[in-house]
Amino acid sequence: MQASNNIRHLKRLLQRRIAGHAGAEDERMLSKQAAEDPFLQDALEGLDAFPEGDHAARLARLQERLQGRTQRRIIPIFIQRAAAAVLVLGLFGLGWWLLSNGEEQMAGPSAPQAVVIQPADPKPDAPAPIADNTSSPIAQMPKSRQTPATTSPQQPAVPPIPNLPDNLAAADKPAAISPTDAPGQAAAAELADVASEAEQKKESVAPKMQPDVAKSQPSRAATAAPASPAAGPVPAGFRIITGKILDDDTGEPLIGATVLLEGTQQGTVTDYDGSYRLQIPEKEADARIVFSYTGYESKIVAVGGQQKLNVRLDASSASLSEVVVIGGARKRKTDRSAAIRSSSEDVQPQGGWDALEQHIAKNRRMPVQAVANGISGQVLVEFSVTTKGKLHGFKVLEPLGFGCDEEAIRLLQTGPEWQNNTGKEQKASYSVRF
Amino acid sequence: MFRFFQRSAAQASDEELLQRYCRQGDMEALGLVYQRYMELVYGVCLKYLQNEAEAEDAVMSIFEELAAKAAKSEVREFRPWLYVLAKNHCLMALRKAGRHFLQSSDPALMQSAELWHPDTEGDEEAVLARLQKCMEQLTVQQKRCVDLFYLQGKSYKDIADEDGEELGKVRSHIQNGRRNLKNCMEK
Repeated sequence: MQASNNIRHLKRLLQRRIAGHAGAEDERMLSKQAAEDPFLQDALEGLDAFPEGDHAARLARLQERLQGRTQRRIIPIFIQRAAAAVLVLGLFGLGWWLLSNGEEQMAGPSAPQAVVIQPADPKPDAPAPIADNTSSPIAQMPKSRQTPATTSPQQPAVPPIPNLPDNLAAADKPAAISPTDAPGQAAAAELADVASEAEQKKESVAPKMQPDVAKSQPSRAATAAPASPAAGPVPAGFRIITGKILDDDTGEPLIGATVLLEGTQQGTVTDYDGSYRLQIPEKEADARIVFSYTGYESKIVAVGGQQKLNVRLDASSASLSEVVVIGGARKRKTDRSAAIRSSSEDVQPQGGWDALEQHIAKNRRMPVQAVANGISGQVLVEFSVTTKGKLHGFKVLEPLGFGCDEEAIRLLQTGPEWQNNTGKEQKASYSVRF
Repeated sequence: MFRFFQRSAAQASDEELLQRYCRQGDMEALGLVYQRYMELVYGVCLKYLQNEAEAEDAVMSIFEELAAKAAKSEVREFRPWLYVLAKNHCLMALRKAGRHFLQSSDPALMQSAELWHPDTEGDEEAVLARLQKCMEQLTVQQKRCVDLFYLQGKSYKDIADEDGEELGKVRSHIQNGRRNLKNCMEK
C-alpha cells in the first residue's frame, strides 16, 4: 500500500517534469530521491541526456501501446471474424469468377484453383486465438497483439489476418513492430491531419507498415497537436469534440484513456495532458461518447450541441475483480477441455478423460467465496493412483484459493475410478478449471 | 487477501498485481503494474541506448520479457527486479548490436543532492557572492532560465510560454546552466 503510493507519487512527479510542469521544488525532490535510488538516478540521467526530445509524446504512445497489448477487447474479435468472413466470401467469389472465366476460355482450371487455396490458408488462424488456452502468457500473445489493431473502422479487412504470423515473428524484434522512424511518423502525421485523404495515402505506405500506421493513427492525431486541439482541417459532415479527462479524486490528467463514439470503433486516446480531440459525424444528433481507462469506471456522455467535454473518471468503483470476471466467463466458454493432465496412457480415469470432464462439469460447485470475488483460473492437483485405481495423496501444486482448491480435490475424489495398468502406484496430475 | 479484490486495482501493491498475473495469466494486472514504472523504464532505456526511438521500442520489448519471466521466477520485490531486468535488456541489446555503453561521467548529468546542500553553510555570504559571480558567467539564456526556474519558482513550461521558446530548449538551458554553475562553484 505504502509502496504503491510511493510509486504513484513518483510517477506523477516524473510526468509533470516530462510535460514541463515541474518547478524547482519538484526538481529538488527528484534529485534527493535519486541520490538513494539507482533506478530513478538512471532514468533521470537518460531523460536529461535528451533535453529536447519529445518524451511526452513517446510516453503517451507507449501508454497506448501497452494498453493495446494488455486489454481484452471483445468487439474487435467480432470485427475480425466478420473481416475473415468477408475475405473468404471474396475469395470464393474470385475463385468462382476465375473458374467460370477459365472454362469459357477452355484454359486449365489448375492455376485459378491455386489462387483460391493459398490465400484462404490463414483464415483458420483468425478465430484460433479465441479458442487458445489463455493460461500461459505466451499462448496469449497472438490474441492480445491482434485485438487492438482495429481501433480504426475504415479498413478492418486488411490488418488482422495477414498480420498474425508477422506479429509472432516480430515479438522479439520491436523495431519491426512500430514505425518510429521518420517516414512512419511523417506518414502518420499526414494521416491525422487530412483524415479524408487517409484511405488513398495509406495505400502508398509500405504494406508492412500499414497495420501499425492504422493502429497509431488516433494517438498520433492526438499528440500531433496537443497545444491547439482545434487546429487541423475537418472533413465535411464532421465536427470536432475536444476536452480533458481527469482523475476524479486527484484532478490529475489520465494519459492514454480511450475515447470512443458509442456504438462504433471510431475513437482516440488522450495525450500527455489528458486532452483528446475526437471527430464525429455531424448528422448524429444524439451521439454519445464513451470514456474509459484501465482501473477506472467508464462514463458515457451525450454530446448534444457541445464542442467541449471535460470528464472526470472515478477510480474507486472499478475494481480489478470485475474486469477478471469478464475474462473468466469468456475463457470458460471456449476452452473447457484444455485442462492440463499428465500421466501415462496406462493411467487414466475409467471411461476416459471425457468421463472425468463430464463429471467435473456436472458436479462442480463454485465456492461462494470464489463467486463473490470473481475468481477464475485453474487448480493443478497432483495425486497418486494405486494399482486398484484408487486416488490418494492429493497435493495442490497450483492453488487458486477461495475454496477452489478444496473443491478441486472433492471433484477428483468423487469422480470416476481410475485405471492403472502399470502394476505399481503412479503419480498423476490434473487441473480443474473454475 | 479478500480485501485486495474489493480494493481498487489502482491501490493494489505491485506484488499483489504480479501474483495475479502469475496465477491467472491476467495480462491487465501485469500491464497495470508495468505502467507505474513506464517513465522510469523509458528513462533507463534512454540512458543506455542513447536513442529515443530505440528506447520507446525497448520499453515494449521489456514488457514482453517481463511477461515471459515474471511467471517463471519468484519475484519478491518487483521494483528492484524490474530495474535489473530493464538494465540487462538494454545492455544485451547493445551487445547484440555490437555497441558498448560508455558510462557518462558528466557531473551535471549525475543528479545529486549535493548541489542543494552545499557543505559550506557556514559562510553563506561568501557562497552567495560567488554564486552571483558564477551566474554572470552563464550565457544570457542560461542565466535567464536558471533565474526563472530556481529563484522565481517558475516551471519549465511557464518559462517556455513566457519566452516563446521550445520546452526542450528551456530544459537544455537550465541543464547546461546548472552544470556550468556547478563547475564554476567547485573551482
